[in-house]
Amino acid sequence: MERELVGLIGLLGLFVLILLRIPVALAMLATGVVGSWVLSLVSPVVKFGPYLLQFKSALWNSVANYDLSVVPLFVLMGFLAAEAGLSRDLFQGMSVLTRRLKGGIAMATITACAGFGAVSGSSIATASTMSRVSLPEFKRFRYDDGFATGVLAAGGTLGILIPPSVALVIYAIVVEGSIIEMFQAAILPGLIAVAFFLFVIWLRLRLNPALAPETPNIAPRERREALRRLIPVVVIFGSIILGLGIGLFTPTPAAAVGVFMILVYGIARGMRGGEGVGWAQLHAAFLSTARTAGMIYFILFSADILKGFFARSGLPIALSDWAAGSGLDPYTILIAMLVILIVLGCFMESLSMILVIVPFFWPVLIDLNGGDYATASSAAFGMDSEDLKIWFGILALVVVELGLITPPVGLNVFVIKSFTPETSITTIFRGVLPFFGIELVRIALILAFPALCLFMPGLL
Amino acid sequence: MGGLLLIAVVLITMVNVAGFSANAGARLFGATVPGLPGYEDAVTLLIGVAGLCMFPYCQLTGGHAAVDVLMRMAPERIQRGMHVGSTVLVAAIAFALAVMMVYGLQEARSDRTVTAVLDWPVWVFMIPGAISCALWSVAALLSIGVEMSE
Repeated sequence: MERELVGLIGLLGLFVLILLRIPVALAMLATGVVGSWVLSLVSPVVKFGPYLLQFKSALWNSVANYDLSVVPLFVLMGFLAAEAGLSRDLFQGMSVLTRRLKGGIAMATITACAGFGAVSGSSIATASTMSRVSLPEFKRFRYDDGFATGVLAAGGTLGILIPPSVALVIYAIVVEGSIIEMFQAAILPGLIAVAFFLFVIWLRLRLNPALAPETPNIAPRERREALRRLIPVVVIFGSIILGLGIGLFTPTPAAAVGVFMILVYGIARGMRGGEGVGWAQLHAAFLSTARTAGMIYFILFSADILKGFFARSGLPIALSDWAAGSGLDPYTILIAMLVILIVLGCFMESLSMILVIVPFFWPVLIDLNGGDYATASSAAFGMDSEDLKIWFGILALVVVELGLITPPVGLNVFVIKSFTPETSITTIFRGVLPFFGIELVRIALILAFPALCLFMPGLL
Repeated sequence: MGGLLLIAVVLITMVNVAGFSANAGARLFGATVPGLPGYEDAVTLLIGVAGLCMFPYCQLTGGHAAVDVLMRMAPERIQRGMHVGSTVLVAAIAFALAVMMVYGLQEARSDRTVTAVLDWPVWVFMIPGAISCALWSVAALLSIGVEMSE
């Protein structure tokens, strides 16, 4: 029991360090190393000297990993798309298409967030990029501040789920699942989120039309230009999603092809004298990629070290044994896990959360379900462990997404706030609440109907 | 450098994808066009170097994610103290990782560790990795210097 206790103290210590604003990756690494040292004191079987030797190659092995090579490429793709003006083109094209609808700018924001989320793969990146593009339009057409910022904060969350997404890649690696199947599984829940968000916009405007004044029509020439610019965006984003969806590409080639297409289009556009990719934009995209990918790689490396500590402590196994013997209903435990993820998602970065928490939850779920080799007919959740991986992954990402807009500390809300300092946090949270409500409905739907996640991987 | 290596990976991938696409067409006529042999080896090593090259810049620009919920309310001096303390720790860890990677590359060299298909020696690619770790440590120290001078 002593080793498990060290593991538990390590876990609590990790959260304390994180709350003390120690960088998440550093907190994970420090907990892993110090925890392993304490374990070697408590249990003579666990040696610290040989443990330290792993550091000769641990960092290299974490970064030089083909499965993870998709991470910096997806990150670069997102930044290049923003630098090349594709996010602006996407938003403007969508806003032309939705111009005649009440709340057209809000609807365009949601659909553009979904489109941009596909290439950026990150909720915070989606929220900040789309804020830059659509906030000026919301202000120009005098949309209600709470309504507009709520739409942006909610739309930003789509980045984490709409495939291809870095978070899906990391989750698949953590549970040793198929990245492609995770991408396929995320398609329907992602589309449902878009549909639900559009429904919330429609409903809110029906109840209070003053939230979004009428938008004046634009000149036909301007309309044609916006639609013309939308076509390459749809072709580029669509071919990445479609290529992955139908299994034409594996993730790394898909990301590389995406970068290539955006680069070629951006350079061609820049040479024609418009907004595009020149050296300055490429340089800016490289620097932003280095900043983001450096952070992700440090977290991934630290998570490996932390995982080693927890595995040696035996805490995940003790936890799953406890859950299996507790007599609690598996669905009750699953819902408790989701609630924990929502709470942690309020203040923790999504990747670190997946890397820290999922390794604890996953063995528990497997045990509850009836073990690794449970068949669908005998399993507690009515599915085998491969399907459980997919279903839980999508559920986990949806609740992490929800954490990003959960009061009082949803990260996306603070991202939006940084772009509109004059709007109070309370106003933004008020705007977010209806989306929060519909997200709970979506989670309930996915819980009740796992087929929403499992249908596409089965079909494709 | 990390960015340029990523572009190299993109270009290699495009050649590989072109090879596979050409193969799909050529098969109709009973011919074959190969993809790039050892593509995964090359991508793995290049991404390894590119990824590690990104650490110093990420450190220099304060890119490492931290949770700013509780400390936001703490006095400025404590906030600054925690930040300096954690950055010193990063500098020490990065330096230790650089030293360990040097040992690692020596081991890989003496063991003649090579990639599966291309037979490329792995230790050569670990050299820029070790340099990046050392620069990461320097970047952390520099950022402390900047913070102290403010």
